Amino acid sequence: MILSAMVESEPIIQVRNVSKTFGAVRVLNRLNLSFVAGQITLLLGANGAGKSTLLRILAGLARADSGSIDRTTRRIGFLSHQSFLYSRLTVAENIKLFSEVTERQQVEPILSRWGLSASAKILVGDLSRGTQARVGLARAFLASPEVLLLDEPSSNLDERGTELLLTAMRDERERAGSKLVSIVATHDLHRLRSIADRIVVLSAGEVLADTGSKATPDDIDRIVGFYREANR
Amino acid sequence: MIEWLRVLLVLLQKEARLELRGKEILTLLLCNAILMSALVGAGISSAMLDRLNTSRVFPMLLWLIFLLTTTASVVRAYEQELENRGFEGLLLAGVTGSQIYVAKVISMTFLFFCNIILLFVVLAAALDQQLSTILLPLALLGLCSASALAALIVVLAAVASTSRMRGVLLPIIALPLLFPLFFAGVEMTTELVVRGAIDLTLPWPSILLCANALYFALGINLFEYAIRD
Repeated sequence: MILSAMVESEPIIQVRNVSKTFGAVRVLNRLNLSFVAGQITLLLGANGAGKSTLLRILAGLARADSGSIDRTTRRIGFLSHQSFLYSRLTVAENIKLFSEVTERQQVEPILSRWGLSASAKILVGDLSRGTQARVGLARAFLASPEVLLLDEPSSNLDERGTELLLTAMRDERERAGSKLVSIVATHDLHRLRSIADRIVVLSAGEVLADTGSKATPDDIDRIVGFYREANR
Repeated sequence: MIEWLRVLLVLLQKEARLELRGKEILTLLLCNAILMSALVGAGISSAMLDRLNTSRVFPMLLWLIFLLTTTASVVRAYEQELENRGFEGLLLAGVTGSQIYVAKVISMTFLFFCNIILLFVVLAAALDQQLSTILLPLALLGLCSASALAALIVVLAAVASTSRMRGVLLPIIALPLLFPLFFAGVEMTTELVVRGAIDLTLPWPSILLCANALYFALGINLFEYAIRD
């Protein structure tokens, strides 16, 4: 029993002394963090705090200038400010493309899950930002990811879209059991706080506050209060 | 290997679908080729060169127009990938950089091949050249050159895409590397036009094949590095 608890708390992602600069601006400064399986972590911080850069490095789309990332899985679902979609393909063609290069899932159930059936034949470039965000989420949740990285996932979503997102995140956590690592960079505490198991606050590329992986609801309330106070 | 090829096929379908939907690159290539051929044809006829002298400048003009039109048009091909960074979505889905590279090279080779075949026909008509007997070896030469050019230009487009000046940067970095292709193309086309066959003892066929191998080896190894921040 003790051994099983130890295995469960083994970090799936380990960030060690990671630094990243863009020109003269140091975006991440010797950052150290670890993420255990089965948890949803909210990453908070003002604009420019390094949240998006950290997620891009974790996704493997950007390289750290120094430090290392240890990751035990390659199945990553990532949503960022970019939708990673082809605007000249239709919604169905995009989903078909990304599902064919992964697990060859049926397109229709995916479209239906994200409320996209009516938009299936519309070019992604002609969609509203909110609908594009939903297609981006559908793409990110394809192929049963073991690591889910979401950068401002609710920023373009309406209430229905956010509800679909929260449901999908809960479903994925249930499907993957304790294996899924979810890291969500957001300013939308109001809507996403309910799913958080842990909160990390970044400032100028460093960890300003962290509830840790065994946070209680009180710990989360305290950090949220601290974050709101700091941003007032 | 079969899985690798299956994903490659999916990527090729995507490339074809994107091109067929907009027909942007093909239209750009063909319009540029026709326009430049017409201009060159008008210039040559006003210079009143005889047929023999015209046949001597034909190969040089052909390859000059081919390289300029393809280099200028290919910038647009990469814009589609950059628009919403679709290629990063593919990388996240587990597609490798080499698969994306090979798919792009194959689709670009096809487009460039169409371009050079059209150029052969249009420029030959504009300069009153009889090329019907050497069309097949010219097409083979065109295919070899198109694949070498695609192998080089796809990776250079990825390198240039990180710059705000990518529209200008690509031709600047590409043109010096295209000299071997240019000279090999000109010399072999001259052989074909003058003698009706390519002398395989000359170094040009080997240079063209080496350029193919070298550019492809460079491209497949550098592409993934070039597309990550």
